[in-house]
Amino acid sequence: MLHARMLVLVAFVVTACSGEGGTPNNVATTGSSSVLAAAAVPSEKLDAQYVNGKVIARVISNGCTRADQFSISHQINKNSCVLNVNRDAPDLCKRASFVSQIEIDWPMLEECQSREIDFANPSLSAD
Amino acid sequence: MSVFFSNHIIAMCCLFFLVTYRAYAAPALENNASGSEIVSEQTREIRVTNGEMINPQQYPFLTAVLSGRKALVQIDSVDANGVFFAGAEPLPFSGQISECGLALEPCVGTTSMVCSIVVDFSPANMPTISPAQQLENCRLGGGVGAIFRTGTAGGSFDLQGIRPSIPAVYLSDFESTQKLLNALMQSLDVNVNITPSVPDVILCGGTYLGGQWVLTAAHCVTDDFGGSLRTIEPSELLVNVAAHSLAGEKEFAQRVVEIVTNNYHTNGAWGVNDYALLRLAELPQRGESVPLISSDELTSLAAAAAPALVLGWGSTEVRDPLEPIGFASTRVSNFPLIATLALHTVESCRTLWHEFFGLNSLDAIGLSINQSHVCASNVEFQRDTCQGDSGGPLLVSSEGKLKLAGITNFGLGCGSTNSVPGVYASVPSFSQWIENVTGLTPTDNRDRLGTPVSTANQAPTIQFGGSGMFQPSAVATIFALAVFRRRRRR
Repeated sequence: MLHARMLVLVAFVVTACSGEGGTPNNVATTGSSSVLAAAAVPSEKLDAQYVNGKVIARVISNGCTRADQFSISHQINKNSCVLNVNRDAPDLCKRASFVSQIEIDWPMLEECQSREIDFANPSLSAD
Repeated sequence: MSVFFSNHIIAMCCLFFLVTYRAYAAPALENNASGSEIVSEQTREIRVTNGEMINPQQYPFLTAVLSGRKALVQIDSVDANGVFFAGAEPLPFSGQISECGLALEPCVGTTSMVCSIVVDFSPANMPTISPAQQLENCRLGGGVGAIFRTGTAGGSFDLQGIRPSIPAVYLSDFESTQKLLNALMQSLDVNVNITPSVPDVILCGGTYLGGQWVLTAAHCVTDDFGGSLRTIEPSELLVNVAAHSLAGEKEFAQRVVEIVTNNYHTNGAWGVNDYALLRLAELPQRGESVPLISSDELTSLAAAAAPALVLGWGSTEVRDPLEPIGFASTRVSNFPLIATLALHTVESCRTLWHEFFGLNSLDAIGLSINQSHVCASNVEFQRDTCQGDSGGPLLVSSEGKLKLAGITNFGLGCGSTNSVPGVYASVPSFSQWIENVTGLTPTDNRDRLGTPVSTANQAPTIQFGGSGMFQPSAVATIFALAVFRRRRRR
């Protein structure tokens, strides 16, 4: 049983550190944090936009998803400020999965002000 | 002595083989059954992970909780799928379509018409106006209602806590959006008629308590709405008491007029007070209640790792809950499934969760497991409740009756061998609250008029298979689970 759990944890960390849409290197994170956030939860698929100091995202919920379970990290590329919406806590509830809209406060950073805002998260619509 | 042990071991090995065979053969049997009998009802995808089909007459309290926001959108003579916005009464409306584009300003030429409004989430067309503002611009232009569509695909849109001033729906899939666009390209004179409809997919499970009351989970009736948790409007729900086929029994669906919760999520933790009562608009046309178990009964059953049943229409898909969520299951289930689990004491449940997550991590993600919970699992055979089963019953056998012991709440995955017990709201911890709210004293099976129902003809114990009640194989399963656990610990 212990081995199995270790495998799951290793798989979780590997998944978290690989694949497209994964958390970029050298990122800064703002917002809530947790032990799970420290394990670098990879980008959740969602549709997001940045409007008036807020990231508005459509995410999948099992009934226990709230905005405070997410944090925003960002990475500067040449002309863009790439935001990544990270899920810091899993939604373990068992309501039928549905799309929920959340709002996360994210005041515009000075280094992003002259750049185009983009998102690293893979699109929910692609599914 | 040694002969006794040899015989005993051989007997147990045979028993274990039978149990194992039965458990692993079950899915194949389901396939055969569905292929021959159920294919006519266009279903194969069954729910509750590794569960089995049920005889609905044995569970007349099993209730389907459905979304009441689904809309039938008739575009001229073509049917499309829509969803009423959250927080709004799902009221019918109709009229001629008037294109309003992104509705960045008050719509023009939409007097007494239905606005067609675009919402596009693609980065290239990042909107600068919220759906609520777009809808208001439709109203300012004289529109009587609105249909929202995406530029590229279907989706879900939220007015973020703003109660819509006029009725509005959004098209919920790509095909429906295409139907509207096709109609608009072919003619400037397109009429739409929007009416509420009954979905054939589950939102949550529930248990009929008698009278006009159904018990479900609080997280089934609450949403994050503009940054705060709110109880949804009763009109956003439909309930089907004693349901079996979701697609085939829509005439039994009825509206909810009241939702009652009890300090759910007030301290920020999930899974605390995660239960809710739904008051139906009228007495259901069918259904019988199930008695509630007492605290003492449940405590002794949990200590004995007694078998327990779970029922529901939830997902049969198993995925790692720690992977990023990125898809919504689109699989459609029609019939409920049943699975036999074993109860855990709260202490052993909490220990297993803490072993997996770590004591602090469990607190960090806002989860609490305490005496208001009861846990159950059958991870060896990967049977479990799953997404869509929340609110449904956890049943045990006591004093010759099936009794309600828990309400499906949360779990780490669905029956994964690497998982931990599923967590259920413990019914004795809030049975007094049920009595206070409903006035019901649910100690017996009662019909919908509240008259006690004789249980003489009801098999009193728990089934392991799909038809019979509690069988020796179930006893052997529990024994086998104990052996497994003990050996693994070694």
